[in-house]
Amino acid sequence: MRAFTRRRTINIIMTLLVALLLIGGSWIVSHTLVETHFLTGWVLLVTIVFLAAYNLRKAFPFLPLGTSALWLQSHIYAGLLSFVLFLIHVDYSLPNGFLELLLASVYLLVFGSGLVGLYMSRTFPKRLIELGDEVIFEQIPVIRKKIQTEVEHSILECAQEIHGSELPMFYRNELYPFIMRKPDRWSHLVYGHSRYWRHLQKKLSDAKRLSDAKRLFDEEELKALANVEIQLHRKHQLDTQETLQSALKFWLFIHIPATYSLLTFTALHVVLVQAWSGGAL
Amino acid sequence: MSNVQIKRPERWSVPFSESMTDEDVEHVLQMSLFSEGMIDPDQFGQRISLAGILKNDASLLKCQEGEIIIRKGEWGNSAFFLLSGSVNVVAQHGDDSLPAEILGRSNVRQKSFLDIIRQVWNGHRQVESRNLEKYSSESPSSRSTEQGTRVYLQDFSIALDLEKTATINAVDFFGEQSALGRIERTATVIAAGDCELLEIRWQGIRDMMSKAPWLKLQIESRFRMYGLQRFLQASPYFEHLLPNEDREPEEIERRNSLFQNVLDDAEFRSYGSYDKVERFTELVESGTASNLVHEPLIAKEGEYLEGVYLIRSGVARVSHQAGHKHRTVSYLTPGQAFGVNEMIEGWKTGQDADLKYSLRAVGYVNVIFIPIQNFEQAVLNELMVRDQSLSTLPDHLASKPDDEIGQIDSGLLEFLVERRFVNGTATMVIDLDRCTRCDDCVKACATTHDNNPRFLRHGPIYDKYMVANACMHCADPVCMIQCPTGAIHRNLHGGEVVINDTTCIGCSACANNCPYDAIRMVHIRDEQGDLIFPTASESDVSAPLSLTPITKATKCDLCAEQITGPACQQACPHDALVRLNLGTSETAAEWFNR
Repeated sequence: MRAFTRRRTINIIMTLLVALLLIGGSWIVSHTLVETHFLTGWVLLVTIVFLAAYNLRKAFPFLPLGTSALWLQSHIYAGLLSFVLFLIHVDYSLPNGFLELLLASVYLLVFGSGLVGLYMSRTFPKRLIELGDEVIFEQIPVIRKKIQTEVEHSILECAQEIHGSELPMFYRNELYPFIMRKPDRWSHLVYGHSRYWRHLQKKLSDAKRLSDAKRLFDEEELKALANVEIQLHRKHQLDTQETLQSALKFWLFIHIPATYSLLTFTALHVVLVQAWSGGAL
Repeated sequence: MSNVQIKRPERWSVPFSESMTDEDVEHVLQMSLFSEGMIDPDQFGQRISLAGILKNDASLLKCQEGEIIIRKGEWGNSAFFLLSGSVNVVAQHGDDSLPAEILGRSNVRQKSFLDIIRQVWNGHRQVESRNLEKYSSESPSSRSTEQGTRVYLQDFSIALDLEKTATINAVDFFGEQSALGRIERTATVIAAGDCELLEIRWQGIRDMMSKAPWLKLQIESRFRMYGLQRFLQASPYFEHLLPNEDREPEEIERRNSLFQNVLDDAEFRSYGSYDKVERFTELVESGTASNLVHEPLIAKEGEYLEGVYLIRSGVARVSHQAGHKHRTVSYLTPGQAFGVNEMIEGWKTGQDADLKYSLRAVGYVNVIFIPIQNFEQAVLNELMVRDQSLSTLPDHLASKPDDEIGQIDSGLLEFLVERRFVNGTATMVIDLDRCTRCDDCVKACATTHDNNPRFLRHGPIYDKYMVANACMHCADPVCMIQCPTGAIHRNLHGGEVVINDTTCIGCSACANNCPYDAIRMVHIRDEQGDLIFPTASESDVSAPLSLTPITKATKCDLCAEQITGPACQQACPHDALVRLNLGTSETAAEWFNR
């Protein structure tokens, strides 16, 4: 068994065992005089604080606090267990108060965004490799500009050589909008390509068919178009790169602010519960 | 533009020792070594004169009894001329060697926990900002600081068993093997009484060798004689021949004689060029690196086996001919042997053996060749005939059998050898299948290095593996070859290749020599973020400013000062990044096949 598979198997088994212990333990405690909600609430709070501490640890890589990989593994499985704790804490039902409902919603947002992030971080790197060239995210605008320049250079060179060439017009009407177009993020994210790219490919294929029938481009123009098509394909792949890398970076812009909101609302929740629970205690 | 003006650093503008005076140079030149023609000052030119070398590349040391001059295991870039007195050399292995405590070795110079905490708020805000006080001429050099903390061996006569030491008397020299061979010190040297030494950094020895044939001859013959002996003593193949107190005197004598035979007949062979760095990247880019014509052939497949080849330094490629092409099956690093399996096979069958693979030098390679009869007599007869329990050599001595060689994907192996990444002891490899491009590694590197990342998360890719542009801390660091001041050096404690920012003159020799683009030249700035320009004249600091700002070489130091080790590896959340020792294909295979 490969090292990662073995680690994952052990971690999942351990997490399931702890989850069963939590469910069983809370069921037993619920049949005693101890207030289950307080107990699960405090355990959940400690878990959430531990989960939030991972971001703090990242800020100080030189402190001897264990590797980030170890923290992430703990973060993932503690996060999954927190959901079990959450379900026990809310009695497997929707809370009824406004603050409680808000708190539960924020928790679910944090948990859900975490799951999405986990899915993306495990699947998107493989998709990025398949795109070929490795691109640094910050350099994408520069590369895009280079592609545009190269395409325009090919078109202009062809137009200078062939008087009355149809290629510049074809570029202006059909290709230029694609070159300037921002990535079709949703399409790239879900399907790995954009609908506009399919549309463009159809246009290119039509142009070649017409040229074969001596009705559009001559041989030189087709040669220039072939070069342009390579650049367009690069641009399309760059759009996919940008979309996937953006997603890998920007899901944290939901996950982390939501975590801070969760901590804030949780603090308020704890104060209110402690202040108004004299009778229950 | 910064208001601060400092002199543009040049070769010899930062001498090896601040304390070396003109009187000292005169004094040294009067010594027999220089006055009796062994090293003739007249042979040296005006630009690099002998007096200049002595003044700038040397340091005059006066040592007292028990003073430790060299510690075994250190990485050193200098050699010592013993001008008067004598020194003791302790070169024993294992339990016989002097304990670390008695040698006054300090712990690895890592930051204390408080220093680590202080990093949180002490970092510069500006890019490549420097504290300029350290560059001022008044500040003490690291050399003089080192002299100030010289360590003495306590209870010298008791601690040192004189029977286990060799004595060197004036006039003689030592330490040149590690300085020139870029290997660690193989012995501890302690002053046997009051003595006078001339310590010369290797750049100075190199210049002296080019002008003094006597010195060149002496160093080369010693390099072969002592280097060979120590290498063979350290090799596991000849471990059983080393003196052992448990054995009978006759047995010790017999084994000594066998070892001496090996020593007498072994040959030291070099392949490739020492000083000239081959720009193999150009070969890679032109697609001709893999046709192997650029790699000197050490042993050819199919030819009669004449002996065993032990790699002393560098990396060698093991390849197998398939049709008209050569397929890389493995690579060998220092200490590993080639031809052992074929020899065992031939020895068992009593027939002549042919080589199953070819061996080629990847860059500069030193090889010790042991003829077949010596190896059979000293190793195979001793281990497999006299010790009847062994039907073959122990695992750590036998080469890997054919079916175990291909542990790494053959394409990946070609990639690693072709681009010479196998030279790295801490190569940064990124598994792109797991890397989310979060740049936590880069951020961690920047945070640990005063907001200046010391590598680029970019580099050649094979399949899903990227070798990033980060210093690999090579086993054979070619970047150190042409450094005029010795600013780039091996860390005395961990062996990492590091740059002394104070003595770096920004000449770019290391950056140009590094075939992996792992060293970056940067313009340094003051606390306000302004570039620093040197004065145009050394004598007049108020002279008009030069137009080129001061530059320094920067690179990954493997976080030698940090208690956590390399921050990049520590910070990777997805186990995608590793600092991999590609010294042996087996250790690398473990990570690649995880």
